[in-house]
Amino acid sequence: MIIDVNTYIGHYPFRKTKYRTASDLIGLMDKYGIEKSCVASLNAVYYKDCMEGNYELLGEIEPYKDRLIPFCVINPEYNGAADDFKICVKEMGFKGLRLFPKQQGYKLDGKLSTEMLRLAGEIGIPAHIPLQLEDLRGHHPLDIVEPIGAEEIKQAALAAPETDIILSNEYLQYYAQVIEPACKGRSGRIYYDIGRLDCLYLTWMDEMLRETGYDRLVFGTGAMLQTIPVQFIKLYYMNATVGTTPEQIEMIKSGNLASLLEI
Amino acid sequence: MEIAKEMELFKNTKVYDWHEHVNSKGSTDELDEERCDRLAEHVRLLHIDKVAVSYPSSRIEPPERITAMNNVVAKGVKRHPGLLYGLCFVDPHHGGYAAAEIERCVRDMGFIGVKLYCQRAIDDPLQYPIIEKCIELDIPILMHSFKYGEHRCLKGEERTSHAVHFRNVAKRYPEAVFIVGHIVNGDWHWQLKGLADCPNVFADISGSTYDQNVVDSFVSAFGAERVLFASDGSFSASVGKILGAEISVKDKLTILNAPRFAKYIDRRDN
Repeated sequence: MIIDVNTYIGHYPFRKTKYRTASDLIGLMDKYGIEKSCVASLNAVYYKDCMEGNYELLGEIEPYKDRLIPFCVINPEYNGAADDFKICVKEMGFKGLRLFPKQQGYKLDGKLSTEMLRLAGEIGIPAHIPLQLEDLRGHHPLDIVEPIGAEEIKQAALAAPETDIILSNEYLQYYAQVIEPACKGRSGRIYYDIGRLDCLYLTWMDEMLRETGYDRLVFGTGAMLQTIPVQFIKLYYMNATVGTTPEQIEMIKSGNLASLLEI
Repeated sequence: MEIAKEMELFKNTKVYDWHEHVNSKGSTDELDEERCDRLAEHVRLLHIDKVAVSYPSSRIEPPERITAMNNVVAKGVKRHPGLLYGLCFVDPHHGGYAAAEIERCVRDMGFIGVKLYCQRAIDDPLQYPIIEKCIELDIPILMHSFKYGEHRCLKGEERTSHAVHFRNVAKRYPEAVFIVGHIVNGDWHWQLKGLADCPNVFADISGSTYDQNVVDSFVSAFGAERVLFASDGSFSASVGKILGAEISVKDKLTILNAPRFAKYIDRRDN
């Protein structure tokens, strides 16, 4: 089984995309053999009130709720954020919290986001932070310029030590080198997706594994903004280039995330 | 997704990778053999048959350093004959030296093309002697290219070429052959514009960006014959872009086979 931690439905404001709907996502999942995906509303990232996007998402994924795992987008600094988050989890069935500090103009290690992270930890919901939605080197003038830095994530993780955190879509080996040494005492776990790591020619996967081992790596594609087969290449060649066993591949494909999300 | 089955596409055809690098060990003039061998091993895993390699710099290097860097490339090519093929790096600031160095690399060392970086844009008049030398020798020019967002241009790379520069120079030199390096990185929408009617400009899809349908967009704008497979070290992203492209198998094979470019390598082999 494969579980994709990092997918989206909705409208992306900075370029036209071919795929936008839950039906599109299911089509791609079927095409590539992905059984389940954690999905958030791209609209919610850019709405002033994220909850409008969260409601849209739930309505759209209803026919596919056995395969699409909803993650709510919350801006911790918006009016009613904590109440909205509780509603999302306790009444609407969201299984994860997805945060976009840069896009929404707050610091992950700020007061209100720290409170949100701690609340997620108390409720037992992981906080997922995609460091970018796509490569930012050609960013639109209205888009963010750079991903969140490792230091900010480290401080946020230390301030909410019981919260499970998932990081996606950057050269995460560099982040792990900053975060891991500082966060060894945390009870909450930090997971990293393989999105921008590579095991071919580049030594990034080796560098990541030195920091985390296999039990905190997860499969994440960035669909539907990013090309899915890129991640399958890594899963296939990791045995030849890094010595990954089939059992360890299964951990990345779904085992680690299934355990975290209690699927 | 069954990658073994998908990679039959690469396995059963001749695959050219037009944008890779070799390096020296630190600041020495010695080839980094371990890294070169790792490149060779991994391209073979991916069924890539021929690889064009260079050793460029983003700085303004003195001519003797550039000569040494090209000699490092020659060592890499010699270490993996029939797999690696050299592209000569030059800097247009060095005037006559650049043209002479290209001549040396092609005639004495069998290099198959030229690699330019960000010292000057491709349409800068300082580049004209280089372009004219490449026309004379009938070799392509691979130019590092990026259209950065407003705040992301790396310091020292402000003269990086993008589509506007390529259009200017392609119109001035219709006999020259230009490859836009890693055209899919940065603002690739910008890079798509203005080059469709420049038949002597080709797009290499290398790099770590793998936006959904990016290869499709370039095939649609340029035609598959003007899109070249390349990796620039980002093999998962580059191979994945081909496998995930929603284009015909025929177009994928055209990109991998590079029918209009294969002659540069084939003539070296013969």
